[in-house]
Amino acid sequence: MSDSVPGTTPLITIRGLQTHFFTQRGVAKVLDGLNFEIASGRVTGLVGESGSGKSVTAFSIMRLMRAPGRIVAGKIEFQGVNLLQLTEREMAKVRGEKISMIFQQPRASLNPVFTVKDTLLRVLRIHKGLSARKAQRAALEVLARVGLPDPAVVLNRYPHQLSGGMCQRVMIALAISCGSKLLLADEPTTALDVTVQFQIIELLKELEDETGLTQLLITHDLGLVAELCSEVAVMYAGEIVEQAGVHALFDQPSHPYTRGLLQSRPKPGARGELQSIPGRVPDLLAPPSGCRFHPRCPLAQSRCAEESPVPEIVGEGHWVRCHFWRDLV
Amino acid sequence: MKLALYILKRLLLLLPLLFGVTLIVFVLTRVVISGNPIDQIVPPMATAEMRQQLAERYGLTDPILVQYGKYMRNLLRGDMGVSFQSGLPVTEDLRKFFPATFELTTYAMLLAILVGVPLGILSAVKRDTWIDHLSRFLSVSGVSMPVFWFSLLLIYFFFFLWQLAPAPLGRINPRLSAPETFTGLLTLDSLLAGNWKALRSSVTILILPTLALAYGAMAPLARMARSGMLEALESQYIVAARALGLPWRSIVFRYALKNALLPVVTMIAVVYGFLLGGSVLVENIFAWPGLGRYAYNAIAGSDYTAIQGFVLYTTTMYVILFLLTDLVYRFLNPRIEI
Repeated sequence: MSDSVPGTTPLITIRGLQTHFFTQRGVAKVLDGLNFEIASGRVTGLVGESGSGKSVTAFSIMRLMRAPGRIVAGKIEFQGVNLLQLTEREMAKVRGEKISMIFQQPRASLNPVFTVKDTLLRVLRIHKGLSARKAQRAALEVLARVGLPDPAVVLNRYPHQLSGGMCQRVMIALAISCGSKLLLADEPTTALDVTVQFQIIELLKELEDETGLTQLLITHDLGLVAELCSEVAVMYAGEIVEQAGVHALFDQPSHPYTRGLLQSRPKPGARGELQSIPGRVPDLLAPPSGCRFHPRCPLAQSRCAEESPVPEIVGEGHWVRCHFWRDLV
Repeated sequence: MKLALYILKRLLLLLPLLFGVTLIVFVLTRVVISGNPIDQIVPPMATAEMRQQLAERYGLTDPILVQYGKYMRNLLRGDMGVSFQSGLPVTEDLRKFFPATFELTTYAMLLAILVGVPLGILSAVKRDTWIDHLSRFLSVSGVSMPVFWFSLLLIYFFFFLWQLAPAPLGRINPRLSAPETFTGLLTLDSLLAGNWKALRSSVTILILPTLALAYGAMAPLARMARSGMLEALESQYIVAARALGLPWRSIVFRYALKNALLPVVTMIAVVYGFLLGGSVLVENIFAWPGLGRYAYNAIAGSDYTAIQGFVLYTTTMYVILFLLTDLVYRFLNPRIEI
């Protein structure tokens, strides 16, 4: 496949995924035939503007799409199983045990009227069938594992008694407590203070290094991608427009959109105005014909409006979806 | 210890509140209510002179501040004065009528909670299904149907047409002797006394007025439970709980429910407090000797002391109820510290 990463096997393979939103104004085909792979044992970044379909991708993998969104077609293969064919009960066994997810709002993700202990022990008992005492021990271990200083104290705390960073650590503890293979991290640091962001990034890095936890990091922060990811996929209007190893992407961005993203972030020492990408994310109720980026693209020609580009190989493990990418290089 | 101190503090706060209430009610009864309580006690043929004498004897000719001072002095000794209508101390009247209202209201409230809360929760979980529509129909009709009309319907069908219910005449079949008084609640007293005939009569006669009151009380509870549950189910922590693979049942009936119940508890206290004031319409239709009727008669007869006593009673009830609510909240919601 054009989008496989050299030297790895994909942990998850998404083919032709269509997740549509059935709104009163019409059907928004947010994901309309998404193909994507997450390499095993790596941290893959999924970047793009708000509304580009990053979170929809993660929620589709978890099968947690809520009305008006619905998965219409496609295949999400995980460890040889198509997740989209599982029953809801079987899928519940996958969630939290094989695939976990953490969110942008750590405190809001924890139930305000239950202690950490209540949720954590319940998760451990449901997925692992542990006795109360064993679950308690496992809970203390995993809390220590995510770097919480006083696990026995944190265990009996309510979310409002914890800081935002601690809440996110607890969320991560919940996510990895049952030995998940894949962690979907949806903007996990966006709502946190900068210093706390750094600590959470360090924690996610450690998890990759020490346990080989595969992660999908959804973010619009390219700095975070450079810090944490080895693979990057750039998403625009529900399509992946470029995928590459992190160095290749930063050294040789081959899609005009990727280039625009890289130019629109501040660089140290450089003064003056930031460049931004003109225009805005298209309305997916009526997406542009051909290449979805062409109305905003500096390279666009008439062909772009007529013909949807297919992935073209740029280098090893690096592909791009653009008719004129060679003009950029 | 901390809790006891808190309760004590809250109860002490009741004192200034009651003081304010007496002041307002004292002025309002004398300014707003037309009529004169003396009319209740003077013989119809009384001369103006006799009326004047009586009014003086009851202190009604004193300046209002002097009257208030006397009233407060007696109140501090636990004396609410004598009702013009019954000729008995108001405290005694309240003690006599309270159990009837309390009994009816409590059964109605229990029924409303047992039906309304599960109904609201189910209609949120099964949104836009028949159960949601049924719940909406019941709550809309519950709030909009006049309670006197519903009471009359109940009596017409269950007593008059089908003869399933006993005659709506008070709290117990008048031909039976009431059980010995322990609590004043006839159902409980007959149970304690082992008087099965009285128990049967007092329970069956309670059914219709309980239904009449519970129907209206159920509606806001069901709506509150529904909206609380919908809000909880939409929240981020439910998404996160699903992402952890927790079973849907425990997500709904444990993680969402506990959050959804918080506003319901408040609503229960509000509705219960309202009902404890006595329902004038229901009590009159079912000839129920409760506080609603007492208060209604007091207002109709410009019975100043009875009105004042009744308002002090309802104020105290509300304060106690809201104190209890706050205590329940403490257990439901860890974010609230006392």
